[in-house]
Amino acid sequence: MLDAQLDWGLALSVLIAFGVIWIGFGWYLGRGNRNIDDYALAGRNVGLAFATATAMATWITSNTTLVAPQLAYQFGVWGMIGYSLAALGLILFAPMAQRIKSLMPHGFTSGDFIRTRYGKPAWAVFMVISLFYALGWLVSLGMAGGILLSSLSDLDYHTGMSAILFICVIYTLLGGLKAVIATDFVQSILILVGVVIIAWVCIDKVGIPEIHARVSEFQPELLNLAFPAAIMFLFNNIFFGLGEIFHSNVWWSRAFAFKTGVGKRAFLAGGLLWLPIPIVTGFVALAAISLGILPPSADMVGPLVAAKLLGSVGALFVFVVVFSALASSMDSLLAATSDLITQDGYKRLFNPKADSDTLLKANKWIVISLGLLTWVLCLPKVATLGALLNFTGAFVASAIFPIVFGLYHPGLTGRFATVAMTLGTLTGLTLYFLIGFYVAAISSCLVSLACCLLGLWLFPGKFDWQHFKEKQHVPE
Amino acid sequence: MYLSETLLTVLVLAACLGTALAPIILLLLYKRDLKDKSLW
Repeated sequence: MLDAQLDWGLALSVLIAFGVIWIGFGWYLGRGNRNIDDYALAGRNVGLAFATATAMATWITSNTTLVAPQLAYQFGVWGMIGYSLAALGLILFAPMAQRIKSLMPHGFTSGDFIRTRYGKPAWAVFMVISLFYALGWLVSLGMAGGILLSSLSDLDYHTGMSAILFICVIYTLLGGLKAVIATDFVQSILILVGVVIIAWVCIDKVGIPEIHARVSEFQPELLNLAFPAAIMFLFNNIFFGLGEIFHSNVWWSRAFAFKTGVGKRAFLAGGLLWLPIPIVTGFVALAAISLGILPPSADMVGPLVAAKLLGSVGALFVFVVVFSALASSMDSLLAATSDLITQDGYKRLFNPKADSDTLLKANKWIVISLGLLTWVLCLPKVATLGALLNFTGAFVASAIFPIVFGLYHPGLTGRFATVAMTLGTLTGLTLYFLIGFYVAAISSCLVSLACCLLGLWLFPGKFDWQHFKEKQHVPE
Repeated sequence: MYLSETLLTVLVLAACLGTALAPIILLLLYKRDLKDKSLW
């Protein structure tokens, strides 16, 4: 617990104020939504400013503000740099976003692409990966909300977790992707300003020489550039980040929603602007040693340092920054996952003839159901944020090469894409338990790549890109 | 091989500068899109 905590009254007031502002904003932006395209894809006409902000803000999650400090505290300098290289996911997705928009100008989800490109078996495996990851991420965000509030105030874990879920579900429900993107813009400004102020106070009050001296004295391995587990983590994290972005409908739905020509520039700018943030948030955690902070759980180190440096004002400040970071990702994930379930689950499996109004209603019910399911899964706090997050690495990294070859190479067939995703995931999970979390994504990705190359070498196919334009693959 | 104080300083200050520039860039983009009526 902190020396300087917010009392429950102030914490509750801030929560209610945030809730009213975001929900009101969501309602205001959602008034113009007329059909499923407006609601799920913001009318497919998002400009560069909002597109860049949403790409960056969605990628600034609880993990950037809570796990990056945790990793710096555990892996030192490579933890910070390794986490910041997750920006490569956004940067490399930039040309893919352009390709996606040109191949499927009327597409809705990443599931649409996999089913059309590889067929149903690959689609089934992909949906398992996608939904498992989405739930893992949602639960980690909900848990982060609870951890944040319990570490910064007198409110307990369950209150914080329930509050953030409730607020995000309601404004996503009311405003759809338009509300998600507009709130992302405001939240990204709040997060960036907050992070810089916290880092500045840290440099001013503690000082980089003092932090370096204390770390060198008490935990020199954190500055060791040849720290083996940390280097392994660095490479693992690159593949994990690529897998998260390349496969997830959170990013595909944005590629569909951005104006033609905007996606490439927005993802590139978003990635470059995101790159330094984990270094700043990670650096703050290194001050824990100088400040004599021993966090009860490693993922609380960031908020603990900031609150120690800034007192009660700091606790409030961290609350605003991390709450914004959580909300900016949770709303995106709720919107994109509900789109995926609506289009690839409800429409494909249960109601192929559903019209726009029916899909809109279904989408809203799915947002509510997802929120409820996440809440139930968050109730028992089963893992630390880092552990939960890295477990999903084995799943998502297996989808990297099936997606890349699927977009650019007509030779990879559905059979080999299915095998690549399945074997990659199984290998990653096995090594996660046998060796550690820091090999799950990299091993999954490499096995998946081997399967794809084998398929291209032994049984190359010849996919016709025009297939995406055929009527049965264009949603109404 | 350990990270020196100088390198840590350069790394952290460069990251802080990059993070501080980000909101300015976003607001400039917003201003331009608003002027061109191309926010949505």
